Amino acid sequence: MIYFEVKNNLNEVLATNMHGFSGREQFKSDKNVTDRKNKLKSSYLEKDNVSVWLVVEDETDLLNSNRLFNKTMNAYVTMAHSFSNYYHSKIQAHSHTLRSIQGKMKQKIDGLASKADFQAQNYGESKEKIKEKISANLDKAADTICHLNKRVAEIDAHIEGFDVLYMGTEKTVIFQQSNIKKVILNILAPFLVEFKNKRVDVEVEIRDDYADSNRVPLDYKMFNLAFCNFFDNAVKYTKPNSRVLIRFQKNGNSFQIDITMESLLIDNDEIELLFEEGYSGKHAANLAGDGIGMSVIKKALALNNMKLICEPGEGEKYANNIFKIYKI
Amino acid sequence: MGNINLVNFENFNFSLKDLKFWGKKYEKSNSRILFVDDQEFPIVENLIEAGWAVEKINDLSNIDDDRVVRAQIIFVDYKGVGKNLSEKDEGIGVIRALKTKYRKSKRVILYSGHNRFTLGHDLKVADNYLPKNADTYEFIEMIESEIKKL
Repeated sequence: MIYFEVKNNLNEVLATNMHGFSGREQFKSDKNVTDRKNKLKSSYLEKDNVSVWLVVEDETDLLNSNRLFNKTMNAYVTMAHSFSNYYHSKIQAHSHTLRSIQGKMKQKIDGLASKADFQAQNYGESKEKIKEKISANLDKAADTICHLNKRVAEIDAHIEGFDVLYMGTEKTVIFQQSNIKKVILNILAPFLVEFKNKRVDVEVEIRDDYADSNRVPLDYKMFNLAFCNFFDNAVKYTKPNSRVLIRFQKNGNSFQIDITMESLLIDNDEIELLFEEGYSGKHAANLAGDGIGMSVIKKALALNNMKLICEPGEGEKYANNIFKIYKI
Repeated sequence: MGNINLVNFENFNFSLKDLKFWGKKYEKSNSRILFVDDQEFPIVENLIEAGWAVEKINDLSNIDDDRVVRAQIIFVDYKGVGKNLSEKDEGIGVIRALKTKYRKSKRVILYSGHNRFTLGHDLKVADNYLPKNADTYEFIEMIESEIKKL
């Protein structure tokens, strides 16, 4: 039997099966011991931010061969180290995104009313001071609320995206008959300011009565996640002074959403790669992006029984690209 | 005729400030701040409204860029910048290049959404560090304290 205990540098146990080993107390003071009489061998090794303690019991091959034992120990250490680094990097990315979004929210509120503006003897007084600030700066107050609305949408997408990417695919999806136009307009609203800054017009070419009489089954959370990430990419990669066109068509049980936009060129050989985690488009090398968004879109749409395909256009820097989202 | 060993300060018609080695004093009215960040952060607008001269660029491809030359305080994001200077080191690569070229004539501040404990030795490359979720007043405090070091 091989027993192991992996700890981090805070002495927290990350993985172990040592509780099944009755003789662990005998190695309390020294973990690098060979006890041939009882057919036991214990070894302890620290590497960077993890430590591995290994005990083999009744394993003749490992007891008789130092080379084999060391190989086994190295395999455990390498694996522990890789797992630890993997989760550490994911937690780091998670906290980095949340800290950045929270920073934007805090600074935006700061721009409307500073910490001192909130200071008062009681909540009523504090509220009055803020009301005065708002009435004196109505436009700025509205801009702050729109900004906060966008940031809340980003947090929503980030948390859901993190779950979809890293917490397995066992997510419970709840389908409800939905008006696709209303859903898209809801998701689009927080991005309007960024499209406006790029002078990009977004037109949802779906008639109200058509959307209302042709509802489709959607899990709102997952659809929201996919489209938040889609618009986030669209804002970055559309050509300034251009137009994004969104159309919808339903035939029986199947339906399709087409999004046409003038955006950065996509080469034919990278269409599939675009949806892989960590891949950023060849022509998007100098723009912000960690390549996570598109892979989240793919997974969130799959949970909605939907698929996204890309029909790239031709051009030098920008092309007329069509993204088709359809029910599988 | 007075004692020739005494210097007559009344006739000393130039100030020590005029000597080049004395250096220029920076304050809010004559200093410029540059942010190098691929994302939009409201802090830039807040500092402008607070009366500071601030510019923001998404990335830096040339450390001789005019906007760099005229800035005294440069905030550099840890991630997503410096791809033209150093593919691997990103913001730290930019800071290293700035510190090598401009040495003590500019204060370069690393700012990041990363937890400071995870930045390790990278923190030492810059003159100072601020997290991206710092308050506006923390940015102002840091700028005021950093320009005094120039």
